[in-house]
Amino acid sequence: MPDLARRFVAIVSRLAPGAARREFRAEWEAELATDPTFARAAGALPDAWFLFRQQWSFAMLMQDVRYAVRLLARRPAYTALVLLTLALGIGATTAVFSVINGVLIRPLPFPAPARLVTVWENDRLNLKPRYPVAPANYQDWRAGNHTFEQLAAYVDGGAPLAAPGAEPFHANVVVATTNFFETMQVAPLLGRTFGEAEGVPPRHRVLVLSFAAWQSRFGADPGVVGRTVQFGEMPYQVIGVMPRTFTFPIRDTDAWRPMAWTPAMTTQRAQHFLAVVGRLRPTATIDEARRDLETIAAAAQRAYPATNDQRGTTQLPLAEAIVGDARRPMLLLFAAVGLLLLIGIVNVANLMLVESAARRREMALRAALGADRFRLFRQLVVEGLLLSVCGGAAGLLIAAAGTRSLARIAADYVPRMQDVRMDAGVLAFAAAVSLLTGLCFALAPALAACRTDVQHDLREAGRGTVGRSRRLRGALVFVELAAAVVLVIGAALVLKSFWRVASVAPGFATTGVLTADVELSRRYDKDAIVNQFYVDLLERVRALPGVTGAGIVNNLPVGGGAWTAWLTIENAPKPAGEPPEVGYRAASPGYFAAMQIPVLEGRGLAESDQPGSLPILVVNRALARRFFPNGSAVGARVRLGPNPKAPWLTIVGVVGDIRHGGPETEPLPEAFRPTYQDVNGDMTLTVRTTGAPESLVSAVRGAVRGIDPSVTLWRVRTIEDVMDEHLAPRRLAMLLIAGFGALALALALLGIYGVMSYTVAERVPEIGVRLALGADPRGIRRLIVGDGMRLAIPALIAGVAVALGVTRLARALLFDVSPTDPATFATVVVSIAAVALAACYLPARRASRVDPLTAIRAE
Amino acid sequence: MPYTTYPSTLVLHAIADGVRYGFDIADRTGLQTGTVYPALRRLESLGYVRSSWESERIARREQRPARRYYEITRAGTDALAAGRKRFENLGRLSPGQRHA
Repeated sequence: MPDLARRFVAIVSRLAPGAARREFRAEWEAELATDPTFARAAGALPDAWFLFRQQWSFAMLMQDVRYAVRLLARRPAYTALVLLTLALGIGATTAVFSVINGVLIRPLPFPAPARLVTVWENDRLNLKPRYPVAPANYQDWRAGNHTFEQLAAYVDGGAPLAAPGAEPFHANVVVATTNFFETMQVAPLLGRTFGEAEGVPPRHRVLVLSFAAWQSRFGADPGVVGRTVQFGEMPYQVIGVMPRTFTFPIRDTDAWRPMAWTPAMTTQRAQHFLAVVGRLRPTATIDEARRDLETIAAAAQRAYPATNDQRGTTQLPLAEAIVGDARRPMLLLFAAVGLLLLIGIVNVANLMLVESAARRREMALRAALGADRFRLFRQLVVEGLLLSVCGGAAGLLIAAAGTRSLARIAADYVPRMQDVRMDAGVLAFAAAVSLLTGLCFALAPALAACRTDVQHDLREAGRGTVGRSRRLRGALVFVELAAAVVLVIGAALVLKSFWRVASVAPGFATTGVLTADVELSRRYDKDAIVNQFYVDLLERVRALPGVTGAGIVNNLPVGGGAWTAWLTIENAPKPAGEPPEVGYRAASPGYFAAMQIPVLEGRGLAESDQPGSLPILVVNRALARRFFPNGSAVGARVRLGPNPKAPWLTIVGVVGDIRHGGPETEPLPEAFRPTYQDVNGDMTLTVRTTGAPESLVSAVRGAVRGIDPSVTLWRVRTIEDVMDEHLAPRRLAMLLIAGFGALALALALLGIYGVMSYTVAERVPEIGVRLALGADPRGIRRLIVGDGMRLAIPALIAGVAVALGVTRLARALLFDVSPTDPATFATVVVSIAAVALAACYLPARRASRVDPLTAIRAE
Repeated sequence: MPYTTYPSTLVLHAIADGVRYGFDIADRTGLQTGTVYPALRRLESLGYVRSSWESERIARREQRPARRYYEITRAGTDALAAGRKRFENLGRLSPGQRHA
């Protein structure tokens, strides 16, 4: 028993700081000499714990902090370098995290958002799991389900909207069932939302304005509720204004209006155009909802086989449906920035190691004067934390600026960007990252300091690093360089993809064209009136100075929608299943010329293609090649659409392929109908100019107003803008990753350069001796560079190995480049090896110029 | 003047009464050693008590390890007076009472 008690005291005495440990044991030995029971000895534990804690007293901590501040102030270059590295690393990581926090983590700004579910039809026949919903199917779901509190449907649309006496503007107006706001559970800021009776015509002519539209178009007038406005030329009453935070389902919603539920809708199962969002009952799960709706859909399949064959349902939490494809690239970006932070930490740890090696004498002196190891350890940790807290504070400034600009730049194409801001979660993240960072990079030198051999260090402080510390630094440089290789390879792949996308010829002019969407008013209800308007418009626009061509099309490439239709070829064998589907657009004469789409065979669209003349069609090369592989398509007759009685259309020409879905999509078989034979109301105007397209905007608006002031022109953009908007997400991802890659590389090179410089400085005496004994300066250079490359080459190999494994995760960001593209890998490796060589060569050159005499004398 | 806890005040009281080393203080106050020692450390760091090791010679003669003796300082006496006022029932637990 006495032995046990004594051993216990010996063990807990390890807790007591070194300086007090001997006395602590002596006192407790005395205690045990009087009463050697274990119960007595147990008191040693709180005693030792007290002594241990006392070391962390606030006053002592402040003393450490003051000491650290003095030390750091004495080395401004080192301090600034460390702070800059940390601020950049922590700032970039926090900025990316704040985006992820806003887009992926923060709940949607609706009450109980987890209960909101998006529902689609699942078209199993055509493998389209997220298909818009037919009205009658929606009505079945809404009436028959047992799992949803509310199930609302909506469709987005738009029309000119005008306050009395004001110019009409194009308003994005969401048409929604009357239970839409109840489903979202959002109350209006002013007035009210839809009443149930407003789903029945003619009482449906009411509007709820969005906050943005209320501010910008109605001067934030609180008296707007109750006012009558012109919407699509019909009078509508404004009944409410929604709060700023509510913009569902699209960011630039101007207003919501109730869907008029006509008797025809209750039987409509063939036309699919509704989006559906539901709120689950508090007790229901999404799986129960799935089974529930599937039961209803199965009944409809049996009851309406013509329209509902193999049509099921698809459910997804609303948050997931909104974020969609943004998740992957975002997490990748986070991984990239995390890697950058790691490199930053390693770099700082390295700097600190070099510093601490230089401070070994100081440490040894303090140890000799009675500081215990723990005290030295703590001093270094405090120093690290101080640096990381200051770096983190600076990083927060960078993050705030970065978050703001990211949110602004990406608002148009990343969902929920308006929710991105620095909130408490982001601040907590930044604080945690800073503290962890501080601990990480302070630990290596702090542990090294704990191993201080006082006598050795006091004697030999002038003489370079202990082997272990040098190995540690080598390991850090290895990690850093390998991580940089991974990041730079990733960045290079993304860069190459962007270059590939940007250099694809899309098949149409990407400069010198002005585009604008034309929105006709209700007056244009007959084909002849519509045609006359566009004939007049094109005539006026073509007469404007600087205009070399103009045309209209129903769906602009890249930005516009895309229609498809079944293609039936005259006298061709009937295909077994459904007829093939081809792209289908309506365009006017002059459109091909304005967009510089070449006519390869036959002719393009002409003014002579009028409603009464021969029904014709122009096809693209992809269509001609696929369906007329052995001869010319010109002269053949085809039918578009499902109607077997529709007239045959004669193909009169073949035009070049157009990548309508953007440069990264393959051109699809496509047909163009003359707009005068296939009349669409709203079209997009394309104007080819000799000068800057923007300079024509007011002249084109004037031309429209000259014909009919009730016609609105909106989305007026140059074709560059259209292309830019399409490429913007890819460009942003590229710029960010390239930026991270460049920073990572710079840091890693700084790391290897620092280590080599330090090694050289350490080895000056040795090099001096070598030179004095007749070594060749070239040999010295080779020696030093060889040392550096022995560090760099394994890191390069490891980096490449890791990159081979992880770049496939970045496939979503790549285009026409394999994730293991050998050319990219080789280029990156050779370039990094070259710069690493340069980073080693500079210290090597310094080494070879050492004056042997000075070096030896310095000993 | 820093606040002294009830156990610390008891310990101070015992030392003022002439009880001089850890084991004895624990015995006379009835406090656990795990309370007495941290209290002693704290009182010493506050400057209320000071300690000295008895000479090795005495310890050897008595065939036991050397003891650490504590004595109260002037500041400690003031602190004890303030503590007494705060914990008025201190007298009832004064040294020796437990064994009386």
